Amino acid sequence: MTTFTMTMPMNAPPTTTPPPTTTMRVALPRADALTDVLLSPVDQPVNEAEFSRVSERLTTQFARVAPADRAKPVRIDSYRLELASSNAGRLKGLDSVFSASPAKCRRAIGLAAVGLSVRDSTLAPSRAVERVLAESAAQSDSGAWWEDWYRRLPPGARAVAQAEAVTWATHLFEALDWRKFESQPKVGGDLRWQCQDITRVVLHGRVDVRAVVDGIPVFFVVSTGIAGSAWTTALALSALVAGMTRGPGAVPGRVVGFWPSSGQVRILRIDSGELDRASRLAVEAARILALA
Amino acid sequence: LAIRNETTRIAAPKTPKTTSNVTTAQAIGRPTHPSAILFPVEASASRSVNASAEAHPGQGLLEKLRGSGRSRPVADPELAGGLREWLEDSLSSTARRVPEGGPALVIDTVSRRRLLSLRPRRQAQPIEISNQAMVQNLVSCLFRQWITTRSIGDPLADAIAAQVVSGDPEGIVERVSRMPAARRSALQSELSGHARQIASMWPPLCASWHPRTGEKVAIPLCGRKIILSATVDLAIGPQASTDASVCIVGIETAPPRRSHEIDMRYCALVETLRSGAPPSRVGKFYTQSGQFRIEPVNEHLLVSALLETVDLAERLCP
Repeated sequence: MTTFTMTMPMNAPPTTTPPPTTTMRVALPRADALTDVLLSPVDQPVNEAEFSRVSERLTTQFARVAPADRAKPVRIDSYRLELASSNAGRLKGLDSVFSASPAKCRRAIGLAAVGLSVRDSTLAPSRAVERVLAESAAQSDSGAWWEDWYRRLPPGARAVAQAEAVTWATHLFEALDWRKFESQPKVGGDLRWQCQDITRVVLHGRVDVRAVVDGIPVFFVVSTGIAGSAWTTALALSALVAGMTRGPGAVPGRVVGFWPSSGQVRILRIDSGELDRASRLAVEAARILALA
Repeated sequence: LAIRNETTRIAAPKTPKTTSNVTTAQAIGRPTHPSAILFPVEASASRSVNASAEAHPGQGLLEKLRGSGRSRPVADPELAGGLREWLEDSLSSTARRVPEGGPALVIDTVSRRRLLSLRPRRQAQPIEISNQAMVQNLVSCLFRQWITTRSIGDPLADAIAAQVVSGDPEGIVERVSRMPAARRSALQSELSGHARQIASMWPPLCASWHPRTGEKVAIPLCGRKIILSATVDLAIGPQASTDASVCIVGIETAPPRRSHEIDMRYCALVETLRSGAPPSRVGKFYTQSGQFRIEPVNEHLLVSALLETVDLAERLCP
């Protein structure tokens, strides 16, 4: 029987202690149960005043750690946040130069493909990936960051990129029962916050599926590997970036994380405590990266 | 790395246009395999696959994979949880010997087959692998390419390009580039043989079966102190609901060995733990001979895999 872990609502003031967790058991098929969990009613949205306090404190601390006159930006994403929590030494040595690879572009291609499959239920993920790649080959300026890289690859390498994207897209497509969404969910659409007048820190929040339940957003995030010890802050980062970018009304009531490789599912109810924990870790990660 | 294009392009064999597994199976009209757990490899299995390949290339293989004509096993939702608890209990003493805060004991293909040391592989230091492992690695790339794109050009060039773009963790690209021309030519011929076998035996897979390749599985146990890791060459079938619906296939370039059976069972176990339901079937495709071994997954097989895994973990962490 599959075990889900759910964090319980936090009413206590923010601390650095992880929130308590409980487990719940669900039946097969998993997509059915997972979609129900994602779309179940949210207790209450995050408190606006509390979020504003988190937001102001975060901006102030980022300004100290990486001021606006700093030459290079400091990028914080869920991976860096987890490293800051579990392995700060590796965070210091993290290579900031981006190089494309099948593992890095599979999500971008996969999200485009799942978007097509959700709109057309007869289009299987593998066919959708084929379509996305064919369109990228036909158009030279569709704007996707991976296209130039992909076009230059020899056939054997292209096949790896395609295969990786198909596997990723299939995992996401199979994870949810898309028929259960009352209105079509938004597939993809990562969030990015930066305030260049104040700080060079750039926050990046991954969101793979976004839906709205009773007027409150809920997020679904697909991650690689195994859920790490800092999974709560990694999931809360997406919620934090949503609020920083679009205001407290955009903060999701819940973020559901799914790790296809391990089959793990984690459900995080977002409250000001979670946001505060994520923001503290983001400042710590920014401090380490700014010094590196 | 300069690679001569010595081989002709491998094209997909002519196969019936139908992509429905039901139609395909019915078109064959042959009885399904006996209830014996394993196919005798040298005798009936290879003959039957080859025989059906004469009529419709690869359709016999699909029939075996999907197990047409008989109902799929019911997916017991309690089974995965029970296996996990059993594993956690059995591995608890082994987990206590894994240093606190140190690297986890990872049980993967390498450790299972060779019982290598527990030192984690450093990405910056490619390990020297055997010739056979190198060929296996390159053929895995070709298999993945064939399943995904239905096309292989120059097998060596394609496999090397796949290694390059994947970061070449095992230093295969450099190794091939250092090969004398004669050795490289022999490797080219060897890969072409494997590629031809793959192309002739594997028909297009219906997209609605959700074929996915190179699927990585990582199951954390005992507080992440022990990780069961695997890479499934090919998985097909949607997720299980009432029936087990996933089939998983590994490829092998070497002749059949007992370790391959252990490998199949292990993959069935980790897939069960990952998805919460056991796969319907697990198989091995031998790219040299075109033989295909298929094993229906049942509780007996999964328990065997569990005991083998516990035994291996104890040997890896004495």
